[in-house]
Amino acid sequence: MILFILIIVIAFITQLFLPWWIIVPVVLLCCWAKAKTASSAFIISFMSIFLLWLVMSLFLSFPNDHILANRVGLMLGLPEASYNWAVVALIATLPGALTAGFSGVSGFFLRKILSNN
Amino acid sequence: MKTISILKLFLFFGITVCCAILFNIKIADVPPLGKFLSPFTGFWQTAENTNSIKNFILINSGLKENVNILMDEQGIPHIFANNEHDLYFAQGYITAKDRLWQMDFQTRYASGRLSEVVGKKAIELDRYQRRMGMVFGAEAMLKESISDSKSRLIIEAYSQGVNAYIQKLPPKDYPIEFKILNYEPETWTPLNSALLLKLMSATLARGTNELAMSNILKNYGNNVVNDLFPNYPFKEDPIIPKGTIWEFGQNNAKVSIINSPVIADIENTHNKKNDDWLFSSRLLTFNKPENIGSNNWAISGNKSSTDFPILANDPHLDLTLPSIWYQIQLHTPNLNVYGVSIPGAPNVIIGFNENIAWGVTNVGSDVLDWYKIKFKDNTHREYLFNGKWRKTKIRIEEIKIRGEKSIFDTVYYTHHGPVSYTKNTKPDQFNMTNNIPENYALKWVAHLPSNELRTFYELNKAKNYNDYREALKYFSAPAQNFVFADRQGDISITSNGLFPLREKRQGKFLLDGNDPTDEWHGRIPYLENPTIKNPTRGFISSANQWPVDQTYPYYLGWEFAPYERAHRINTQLDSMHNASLNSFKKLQTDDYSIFAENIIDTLINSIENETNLNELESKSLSILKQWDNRYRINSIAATIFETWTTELYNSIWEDKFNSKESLMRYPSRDRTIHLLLYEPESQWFSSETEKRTRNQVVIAAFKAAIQQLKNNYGKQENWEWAMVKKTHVPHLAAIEGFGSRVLKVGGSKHTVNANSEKNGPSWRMVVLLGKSVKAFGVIPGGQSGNPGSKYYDNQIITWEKGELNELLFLENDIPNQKGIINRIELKNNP
Repeated sequence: MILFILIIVIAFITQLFLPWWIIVPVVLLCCWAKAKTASSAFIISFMSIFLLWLVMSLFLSFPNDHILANRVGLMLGLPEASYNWAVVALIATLPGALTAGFSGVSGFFLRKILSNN
Repeated sequence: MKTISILKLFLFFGITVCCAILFNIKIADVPPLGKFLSPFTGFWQTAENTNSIKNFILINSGLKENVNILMDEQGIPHIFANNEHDLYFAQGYITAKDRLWQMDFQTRYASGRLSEVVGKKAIELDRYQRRMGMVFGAEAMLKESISDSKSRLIIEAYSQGVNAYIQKLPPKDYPIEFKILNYEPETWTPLNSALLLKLMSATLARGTNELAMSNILKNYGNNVVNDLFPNYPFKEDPIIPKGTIWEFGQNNAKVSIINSPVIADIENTHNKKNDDWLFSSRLLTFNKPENIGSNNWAISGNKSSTDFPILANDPHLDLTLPSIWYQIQLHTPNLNVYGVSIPGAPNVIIGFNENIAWGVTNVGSDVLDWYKIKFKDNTHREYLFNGKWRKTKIRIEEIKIRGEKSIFDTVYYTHHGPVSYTKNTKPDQFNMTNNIPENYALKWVAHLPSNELRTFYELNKAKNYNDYREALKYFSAPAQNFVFADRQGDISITSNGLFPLREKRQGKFLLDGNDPTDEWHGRIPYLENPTIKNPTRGFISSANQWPVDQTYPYYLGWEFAPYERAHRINTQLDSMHNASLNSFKKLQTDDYSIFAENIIDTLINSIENETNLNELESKSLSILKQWDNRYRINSIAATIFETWTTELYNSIWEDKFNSKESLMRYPSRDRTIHLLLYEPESQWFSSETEKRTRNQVVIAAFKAAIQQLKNNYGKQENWEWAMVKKTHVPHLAAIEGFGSRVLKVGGSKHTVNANSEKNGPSWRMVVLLGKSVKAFGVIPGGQSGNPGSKYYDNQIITWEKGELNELLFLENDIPNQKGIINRIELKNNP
């Protein structure tokens, strides 16, 4: 849980100023410090960025009445539907969440190597 | 154990890095997904809050004094500045804020720089624009404009304003299309504004039929050309009413040129030269597209319910989102004007002020010619003119391509203009070049130095008829019918632009670049361009038709848009008394077809005695018999008539003028109507193998049309006109989801409410002049270029219904007045 919150907080702050891929070092370092197993590192890292991006997207999309998200849905080839914004918001988290997940696992193995010393 | 962990670390870190890289670059047409989908940097950032609109302040050292911009409920800016520099700075700034990507993309399109952002798929398009001399023309225009201190001030201040916006724009706030295509906005230059004005010339005055006409002359001879491609239509209702006396001409030395004997036989001239490659071209054929239809008109006070003139304009173009026009009000102590502007160019192009209103439609005059060039050798360094070798000028075009090495393209310029494609350089698979002959130089009015900016500046602050006439003299291209009305009661229309002075035969066919008598002989003097003031009939109008009758002493071209829309407008205006806003609104959305009126009885009579009709055909015929000639939204008769006449037109001409070997074109609709009405036994109805009469062709076309409708749309209740026509507004770069839905609008290409699948009125305006001017307007889109803004397409519904919004014309910049929702302050930083 600490790891989860830690990633969300740091990833949130750094992404306000830096490119999206800053989540790679952020997640890596957090998991190096705190991860317990490879699978939990993946799940926690994935879920934290998934949640962060989802909430942030919806935070921007609701005041917009989802005008843009629905248009992007059509652009991405979704059939016309009033709930497209929700599908778009879920899909949109995947690049970030996946990258974070793998970075988390890397962080865990880094911890394992260094702690064996 | 540890080795395995190290291997796993490498494995997973490798995957992580791969993800980070893959999601950060554009692969083919897929945007960089991580960057694009991230809510911190990606498209979500461009989702505008639909409720709260913030006031804000920009501080910039480029300003002389402070500027106030009031934004109204439609998202339209009203700029209040104390001097002209600040006014145009603010216009550039606020336009960039709403339309930056559109400005960038259209400039790239015009100047042949799209490959820089979309990669090699745009190479041929870029090459085409360069070879047509688009940048060459824009440079000539800019040079002329900045030699005029007023135009220079305007165009430079505008650029500064655009750049003030770009400089403060963080990447997360880039318009969404930059994010999709993954590139950055670049510094704006005055040349870009010139390019956008040239783009209007390219859209409206770059059509060319010379090659097709020369091929027809070669294949069929002079008699057929004179018969099927006459120099004046049999039905016409010109802009300057028939019978108007021209008070110039006979005594003017320049006119003698056109009175000199016309070179009798062009075919012989060409044969004499014995050039086997003259007509050779590797071409596909195309059907002549129907002219896109703009309208404007004005009535004098004695026909109007207000006792003052009323003016209307609806320029038609290929519709796009972001919208073609940007609405704006510009105010200084010496100027107060409202109207639509071109995103990326200063001034108001169509609009009104307290005193006057004006509007434009295109003049389809012939302002483009092709001159055959004889090069000395394959180096293209010298060409023959008047029997002597002259040197070409070489212009090397670097086309930068995203992700690849630049290509360099050499274009040879003669004194006529660029040789767009030398022999064997035309691309095979690029249909924009179909009608371009190889080894011909392009002479085009849009290449000549000009200062159109000044016209619009002068119109923006014009007070009366004399100011209007003064403003128009600066205007070259694309030639426009400038309709005018003022509150003193004057109305006027001028077919205005630089019209080359030529002999009557010139321009219909390809010309000889060696022969000095084939050159343009200067221009028609500005004062002798077709114009009329306060005609006795009490109204003026234009709809792209012929500006004049056949007594006009100069040659303007040989073919203009068909007369049907103009005739409908004129008969309606003629019968109007006490005309009001509503009468004008009704006329702008009029869907009555003069074309149908002229021909439907003949068509129905031709088929009347046919006994061999199936049930669907009989039913369709009886629907047509009850038709009121209106292209209504739900009319099935309109769909049947349109499909039938299109099929008929093609079946008459296709086997004669559609050949794989040489590019030709079909005779006009006007000529086809004459054939159908008065020449039922004409040989043109027959095909090569079969003798046919008009009635046989008409019946066959009818049966084919019904079959086609049945195949494409199924049951007859699905044949409703609006659903078949499918008018919609696509995105400028055709991005799926960023365009409009299919809109339910009536009208067809030849009705006053002219529209087709992707084409229609790009701005509708009605101005009621008077002690205080009242105006109404609508664009098929909205003010914002951002697909994530509610102002992106909020006016479309109003446009679709044929309604107009009242335009807010402010007198002062008090912030909390009615209709104003927020304020942007531009502050000078001393």
